[in-house]
Amino acid sequence: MMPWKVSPSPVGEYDVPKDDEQVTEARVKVDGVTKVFTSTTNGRRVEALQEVSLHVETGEFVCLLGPSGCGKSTLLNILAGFERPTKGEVLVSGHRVSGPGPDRGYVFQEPALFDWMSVWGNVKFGLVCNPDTRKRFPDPDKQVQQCIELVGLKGFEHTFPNFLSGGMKQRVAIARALAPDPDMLLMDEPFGALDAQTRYLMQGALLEIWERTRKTIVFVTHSIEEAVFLADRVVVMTARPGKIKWIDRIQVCRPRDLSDMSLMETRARLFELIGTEMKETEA
Amino acid sequence: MSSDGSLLIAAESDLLTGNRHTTTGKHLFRRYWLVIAILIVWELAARYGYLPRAVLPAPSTVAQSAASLTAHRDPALGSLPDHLLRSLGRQLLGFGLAVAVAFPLGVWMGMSQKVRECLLPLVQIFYPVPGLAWTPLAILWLGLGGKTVIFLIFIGAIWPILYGTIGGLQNIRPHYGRAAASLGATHFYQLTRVSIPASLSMILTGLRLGYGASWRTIVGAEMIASTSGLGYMLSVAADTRRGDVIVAGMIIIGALGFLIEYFAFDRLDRATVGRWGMRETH
Repeated sequence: MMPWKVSPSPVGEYDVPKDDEQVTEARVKVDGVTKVFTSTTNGRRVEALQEVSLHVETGEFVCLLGPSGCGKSTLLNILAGFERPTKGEVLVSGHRVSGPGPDRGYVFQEPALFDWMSVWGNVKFGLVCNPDTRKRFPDPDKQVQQCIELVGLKGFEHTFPNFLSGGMKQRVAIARALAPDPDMLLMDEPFGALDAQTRYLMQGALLEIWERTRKTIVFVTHSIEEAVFLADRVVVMTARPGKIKWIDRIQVCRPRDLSDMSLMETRARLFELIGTEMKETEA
Repeated sequence: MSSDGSLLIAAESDLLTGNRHTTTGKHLFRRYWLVIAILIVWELAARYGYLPRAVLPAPSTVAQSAASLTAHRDPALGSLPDHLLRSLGRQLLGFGLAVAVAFPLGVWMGMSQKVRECLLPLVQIFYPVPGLAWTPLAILWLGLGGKTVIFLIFIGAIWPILYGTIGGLQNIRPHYGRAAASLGATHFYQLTRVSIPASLSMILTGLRLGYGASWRTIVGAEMIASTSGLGYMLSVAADTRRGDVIVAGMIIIGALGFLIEYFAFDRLDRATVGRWGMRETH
């Protein structure tokens, strides 16, 4: 029925190094991560992630794709340090993740901007909110200005977030996450709440930012088009318990045209994969 | 990008013009015409004998009495500016003390579930007790006089401020905390720059309610426990059958409450949550 499914999913091609030696290329190493949530009301245990292993190279753009409830956001939250894995471990830049930190910028689905600070104040926050970063950026204003220009918000420095459109809010959120010069960006469906037109514009803007900064990006989405348009690699996850079902490497160079033949094929394949997943959940 | 920009400009100009309109004379008239109409009808009714002087003196009589009490010290009633300043001073002191105690305590209770579980039952018991119900105990502790009045203002204001602050801190969207943590904010930085501003809208509501509650307490407290202040003036006026002074005192109390509400709280509101677009201002 699906000839490409004959070969085992390419998850296995990433050998987990058994020795303590650090592999410098891999920015992110997720090793055998399982996450079990226990309901506080009835004590029922829900397995959100099961034995997930994934490596992300430095500078790579990876999209986590899957039906809702598949644990892709849980995986991202574990990478961010908001959640602890029940089993397994996560290394970012060779350090075990034990909590949230400024080495991993996070962009939320809802912009989560500090409404009481101007665009400038929001972007500056990460540069002055702890003594380490203050030492690292003795001249924060220059960095703030650069980040604001990078996301195309020059001229809006003194505007408060509630007077910005949804797309512009997400630009601020990206600038704020980039300001402390993190090793990577974690993005949780950042364009999910935007209208189609703005979403398309923002995808282009993000690729431009990525090409200029070359940050490693892990991007959660449920849109196949978005994943195919953005990512170097698309990681498809199964319905609960979330496991990695398939990894697709997309080598078409950017800017991509979604009507390109090979991208059409990839889209059809991913569509099929996710379709079967959703059927299984409903059954 | 360009569509984004025009959207923003439209939204911003709307907001600015909306704010500006509220200060024009036309707007003021639309808001207060009923007050003016009532004053006119009242004055006419009193002048043409429909309202006996013993029931309700005319507004002009009330104004004259207020003016004469301001200019001369009445042997029984005292001087209006003296009473007014005395009441205001007590109000400021009592309310200031209430803020100084309730705000930090509320922040603490809002942040820590343990502290909240321990102290909230206490707050819940005292909150419904009217400020004036504390008068006998206050007199027992502090005697008759200004101290008792200040204590009653304090106790009247403290509960709403506490509730507002606790509620504000408890209801912060979890995203804010996560965003601050992922940027590496220290606990102190997060508290002062994120948690407190994020809950400011509810904190301000608590302050407003606390202020209102204590301003309503002060008159009663001064009637019972003091020999100065607007409340005392009202009780003397009642004893001496001076309806004009009673009405003047009531109007002054209402007007003062309104002016402080407008100049202090509305301004504060507009300078913070209003300016940030976190709440519709009127």
